[in-house]
Amino acid sequence: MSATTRLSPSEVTARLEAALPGAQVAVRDLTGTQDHYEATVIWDGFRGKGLLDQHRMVNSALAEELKGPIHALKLTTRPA
Amino acid sequence: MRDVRAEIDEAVKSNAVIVFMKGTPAFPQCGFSATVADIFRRLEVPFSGVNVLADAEVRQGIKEYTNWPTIPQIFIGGEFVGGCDIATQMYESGELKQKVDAVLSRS
Repeated sequence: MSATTRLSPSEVTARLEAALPGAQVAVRDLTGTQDHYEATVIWDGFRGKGLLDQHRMVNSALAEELKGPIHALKLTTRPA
Repeated sequence: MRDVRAEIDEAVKSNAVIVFMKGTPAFPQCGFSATVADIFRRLEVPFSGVNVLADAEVRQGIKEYTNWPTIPQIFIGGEFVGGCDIATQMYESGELKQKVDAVLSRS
């Protein structure tokens, strides 16, 4: 699957769960076009990390997708 | 040959608050950029805007400069703060006002 094909919400969720083991992940397609997503991630691995680092960790799990298929990713993160 | 990185570095260091955005502070052309402009308007904080839609090299260069994949990107006191989500969370917690007040040294 090349990085240009769009991801379904469950695929985005699976990718985040794989990259952040044990995280609680909730993903919503904001526009129904599979390119504007909102993700809420609650994960113990964020403990002690600033918001910027938390979001960086989520962004790096979707690095390829953010170059193309995912146009916008609205994030809410916090430690478990 | 243009050194975009140096241009970005110069802009970031010479503005108290600067936002690399889509559109301009007065006419943002994307929801997330508009949200950021609105947040600074509510805080009564003047900020300079760099319209990445008008400069493709800066649009790519800023993402490499911060290793952050999306626009808008906010800098306060020369430090990268994050994008629209982080600005919104910080605004709601009051942290953004504190950071800005410190840089503008106003209380």
